[in-house]
Amino acid sequence: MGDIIIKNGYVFDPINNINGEVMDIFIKDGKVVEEYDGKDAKVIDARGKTVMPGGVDSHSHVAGAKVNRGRIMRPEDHYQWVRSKTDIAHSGTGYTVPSVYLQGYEYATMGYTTVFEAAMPPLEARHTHEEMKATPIVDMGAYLVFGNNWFIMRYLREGDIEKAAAYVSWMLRAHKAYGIKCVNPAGVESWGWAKNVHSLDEPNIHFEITPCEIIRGLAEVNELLGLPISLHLHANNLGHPGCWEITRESLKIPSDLEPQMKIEGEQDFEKRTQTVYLAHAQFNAFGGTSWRDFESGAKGIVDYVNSADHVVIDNGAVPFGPATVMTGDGPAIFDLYKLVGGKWSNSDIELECGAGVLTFTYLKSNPVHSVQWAIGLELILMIKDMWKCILTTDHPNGGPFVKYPSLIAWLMSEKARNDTLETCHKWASEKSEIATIDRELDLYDVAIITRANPAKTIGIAYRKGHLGVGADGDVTIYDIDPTTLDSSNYTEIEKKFRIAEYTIKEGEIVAHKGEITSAPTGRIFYTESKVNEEIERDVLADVREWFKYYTLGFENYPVDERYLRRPTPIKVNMEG
Amino acid sequence: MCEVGQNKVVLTPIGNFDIPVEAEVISPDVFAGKSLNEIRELKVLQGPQKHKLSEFFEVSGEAGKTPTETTIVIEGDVDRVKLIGYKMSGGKIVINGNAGMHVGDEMSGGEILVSGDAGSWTGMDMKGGTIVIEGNAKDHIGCTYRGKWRGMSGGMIHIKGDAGNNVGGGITGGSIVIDGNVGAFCGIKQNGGLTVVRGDAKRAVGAEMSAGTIVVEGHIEWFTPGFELVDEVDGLEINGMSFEGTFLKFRGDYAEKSNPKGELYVSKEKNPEL
Repeated sequence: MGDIIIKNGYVFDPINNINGEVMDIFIKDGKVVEEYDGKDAKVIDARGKTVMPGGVDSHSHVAGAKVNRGRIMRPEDHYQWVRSKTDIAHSGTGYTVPSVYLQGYEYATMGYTTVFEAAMPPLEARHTHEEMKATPIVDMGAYLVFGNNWFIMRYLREGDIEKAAAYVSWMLRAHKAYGIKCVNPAGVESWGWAKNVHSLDEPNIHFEITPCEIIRGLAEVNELLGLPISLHLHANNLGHPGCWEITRESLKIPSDLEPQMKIEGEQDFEKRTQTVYLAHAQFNAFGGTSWRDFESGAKGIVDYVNSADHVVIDNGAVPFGPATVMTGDGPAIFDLYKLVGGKWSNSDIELECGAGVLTFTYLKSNPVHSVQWAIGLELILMIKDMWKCILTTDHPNGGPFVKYPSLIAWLMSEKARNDTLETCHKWASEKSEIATIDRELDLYDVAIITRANPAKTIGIAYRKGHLGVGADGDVTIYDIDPTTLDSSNYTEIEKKFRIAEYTIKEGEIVAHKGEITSAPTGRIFYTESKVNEEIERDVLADVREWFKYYTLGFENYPVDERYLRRPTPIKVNMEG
Repeated sequence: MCEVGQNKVVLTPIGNFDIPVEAEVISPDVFAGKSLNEIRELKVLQGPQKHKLSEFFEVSGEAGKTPTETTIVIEGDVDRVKLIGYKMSGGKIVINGNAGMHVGDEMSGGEILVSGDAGSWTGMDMKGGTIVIEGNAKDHIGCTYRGKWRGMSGGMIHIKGDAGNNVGGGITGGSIVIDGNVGAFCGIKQNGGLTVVRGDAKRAVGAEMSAGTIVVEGHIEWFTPGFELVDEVDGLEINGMSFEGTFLKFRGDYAEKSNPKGELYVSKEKNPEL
């Protein structure tokens, strides 16, 4: 943790309404502070450069069993993408599924300082934490997968929302997780018997609960507990033509709930306003009825998002090129495998969930892939309020996170989009609205969708995503002069966002022009919530009873803090 | 000894090669237009350590102006040196001795001649050009990298001796000719192109192939089960190469897909049990 002063830069800090003002940022002991004389502080002159809070990735697959499955499946992903060892940094390899060290370095090189793993199966929590522990520099956390959990399905079926909440509360604490992830609710349980569910009112096998009931129940549990992040939803029918409709209907389910955040000791900060955060919307915004009449369904999603105040989406864009598709939605991956072939892996996670992994390449010559590229961009460019969207590739599903700069370039430059439209399949312009959009994001918008809004959406804006006093001293300086920025020169935009001039983590320079200059250990955030002790006791009795169906002993189930680096519990709802 | 003249750089191995050396800089594309001193300063890796090329080779002669005008002659065994001719687009490399692993990886043009034996992964993912090995070769000749399914797309590899396992794995174009015998999995996952084995093959020839052509003039010890006999032909003419004798023509691999286009020609005389 360091003392550093960043002088004369153009600052973009949307949470504090700062739009390109020339300001000095003072950091002491790793935190942003009021101006001080700073005799011993390091000074960086950022004159003519762009200063933003450190990037926050609220949805990325960077740790755990399925990521590692991807690495094992793909030696060919590793041999041409390497980073050599230096005195302070490990070596690393891998493009779409990089090794843990490389992930940390690549994020830092790009100006990101906080990354959340988007799907941690409870049984794989220990593995996930071990990988996060080995990932350098970035602060991390992980969302726990609940959408097909036996206990949740049982309690919600019985209508016992208090027990469901007590179970979630205990699970987050036991597995050191940050929030609730819900993947293909009800469907993955049926997948254990080679089935799926295809509508919100279709009950699944054995538990006979519907996706609608699970989404509603988990959203209620989320607000009952007062978690920092809202329900994070991977909707049903993902990756199938026409899925935009079920997605919109899913988003309507928690529209009447009030967002409740009960973070202890944090009062005055930019709180989340959503009760549902839709993951990788691109994969759930497919139009048409089959692959023959496939088209963008972005408009249906966008129209709803524009009219609703309880929804945030991340776009899960497709920047073309190699990807490794991995998700807890096993049946979706299987359907894709039947369509394209390639290397496929599937696993069942006992009483909890499942996962699938597939190698994939998005081609400009492919009609469907070209439309997917367009959808990813539409889902930001057509949304009026930037505080409703977040830039991701659903790494590594749409493409690797190192492609974010290409996406920023397409969003900031109409010329970039038009040039790509000329080289990709004509379906991109014929089956989506991308060719008619002339909107170009500015640096303020980019700061919203890459740091301010991810931080706000996951309820961590009291310390991340802004540069106000008290925030973490995470700052990115890009070699971009906003006064001379030319959106038509998009290769330059891409280059500048790919390699930050400086990335500063807690007041320490961690990356400078692509070189790793220090590799401090980041924090792991997790949520510690409290519920009525009696109810929790009853729930634990239920858990122990059904633990006979697990392949491990109950005592070995929870993950203790020794598996975490710099464990940082966030206490919520301490009144009980 | 090779004559040192214009457009020709001679490398004589002098270093300690106990740990293999990665020398992708030994390529006409890198040498062209450089002075001898610049060539000596080029960096190679030995384990994690960077060294100058001159620590391992005595460098003499003179490089051409362009890759196509440049010939590199290596006088001696370099079987502990990897990646010679990596991504070369033209010119010529002559190795008077044994070559190491990954000779001519991803090359797109030019010529590599090896008077001795070659290591594994010779011509991995090559796109064009010619590699000729006078002696034997190890495994994965012209084969794509582990985990990858589409490899060599053009060019020609000719092994005058025997080769090991996985010859031509995943090739989509170009041709590989082995004058001697091969091990197992020759033409595995082949997707196009031509693989010729003049001698015998062990097993799993053409396993998982979906397109392209394999010719085996010798005996296959264990024939791959996913192939169907479709024809019998007298004499073959493929890519300007002619093959004498009667061949059984098979189509496969049906274990890979339902309508495979892979063609496997096997000598009838040498495989009476088929």
